[in-house]
Amino acid sequence: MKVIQFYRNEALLIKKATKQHRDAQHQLYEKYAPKMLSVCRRYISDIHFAEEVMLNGFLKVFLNLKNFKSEGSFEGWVRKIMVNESISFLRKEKQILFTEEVKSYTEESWNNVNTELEVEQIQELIDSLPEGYRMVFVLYAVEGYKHNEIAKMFGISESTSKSQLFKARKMLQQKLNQQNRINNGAIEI
Amino acid sequence: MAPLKFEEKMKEKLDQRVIRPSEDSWKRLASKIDDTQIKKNESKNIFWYAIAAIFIGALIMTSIFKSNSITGVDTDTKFVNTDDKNVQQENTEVVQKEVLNEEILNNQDEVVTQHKIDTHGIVESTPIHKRVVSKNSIDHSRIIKKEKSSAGNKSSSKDNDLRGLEKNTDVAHTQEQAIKVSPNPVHIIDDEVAKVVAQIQELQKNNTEVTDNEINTLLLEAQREITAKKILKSNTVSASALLQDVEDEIDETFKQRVFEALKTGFQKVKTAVAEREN
Repeated sequence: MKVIQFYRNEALLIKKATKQHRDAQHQLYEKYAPKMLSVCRRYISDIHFAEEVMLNGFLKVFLNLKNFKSEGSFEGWVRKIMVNESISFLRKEKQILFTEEVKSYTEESWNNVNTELEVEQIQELIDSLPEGYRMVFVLYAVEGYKHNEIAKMFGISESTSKSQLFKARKMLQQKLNQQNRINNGAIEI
Repeated sequence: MAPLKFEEKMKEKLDQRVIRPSEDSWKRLASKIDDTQIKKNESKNIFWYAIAAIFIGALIMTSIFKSNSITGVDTDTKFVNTDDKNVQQENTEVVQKEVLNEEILNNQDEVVTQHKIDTHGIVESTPIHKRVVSKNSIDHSRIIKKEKSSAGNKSSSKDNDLRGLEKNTDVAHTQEQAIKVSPNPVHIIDDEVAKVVAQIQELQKNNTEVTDNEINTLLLEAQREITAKKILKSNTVSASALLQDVEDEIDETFKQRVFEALKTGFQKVKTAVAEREN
């Protein structure tokens, strides 16, 4: 009953927000802003810029709310807007460099990698990646986009997207191994 | 450990993560929404203003075109569309002209009568006829000057002058008679104007509006009547008629000449034949 009431409430909020009711917009913002700021933060390392991008994303959400079809989830629609806004921000601010294709993919062992990381550590690892690697990695591994979609999004070939992912993974593995070695050494000491 | 498993765990943790935005973030967003709505409204207003301006411009252009066409018609009707004031002015002008003509004719009469008196022995020139412009008056003045110069010495020239004066007096008398016979055209015009005004008043009483065309037709009728009355009641002959008469006379003389030539030629031949037979 509570779930049904929540969806009814959300639908009502969306309806009111479409008619530019400020309270309804505020409620929707309060509900989705923390999640969406997290989404923007995955792409943009500076939290202030990430927040600015999120606000621009919400502005687009409220202005184009009439275009939202109730077929899909509202959260998914808002998240898509946030991702697109983040990518367009990065495109404007920085020129994203995509390195050339890598034809031979060599898999390294992930056996020794410690996956029990805090969210902040994960975010630090992602932030340490170059722009091109990070974008493709987050879009593919976290957001669930496919290579052809990413290729279309950035105007690159699918193989370039794959090579970016491969390099991102390799770099992450190296960093994790390095971190593990430090942690182990620290333990050993 | 496979990379997919690591990524799945990473995804789970990232999805669970929430970052609280700054406290004034909502205010900033609200102000952004307001600004964009104001801009949207302004752009909408500008759009509607532009449409309204185009519409008004089109209306003005059409009105200008229409007014131009109407003024074109007005320029045509201005010739005919005469107010009472204009009619009165025209009438006064006509009356003034007629009065001037009468004055000239009266002056001529006076001159003629003075000359008549002069013919009986008393020769005195009067300065009244200096203002008269007609030929007769000029001739009279010349005659008087001649009379002054020859002051009773040359009787033969005096007789000739007297004959000429008599002729002039005859002409003057005929003109006077013609003027007396012909009715006063001012009265005719006044009558016609009164008629036209009465008709217009009747039309105004009957109809709510009197059109320019109706007034024009009435005025044209009045003009025709005036001209017809003038022609009928006056003994004067039109210039075209005079010219026609002159041309007819010329033609007659030519015919007569041809006939005479033929006649003389026939007589010559006749005499020549008669002489040969003799």
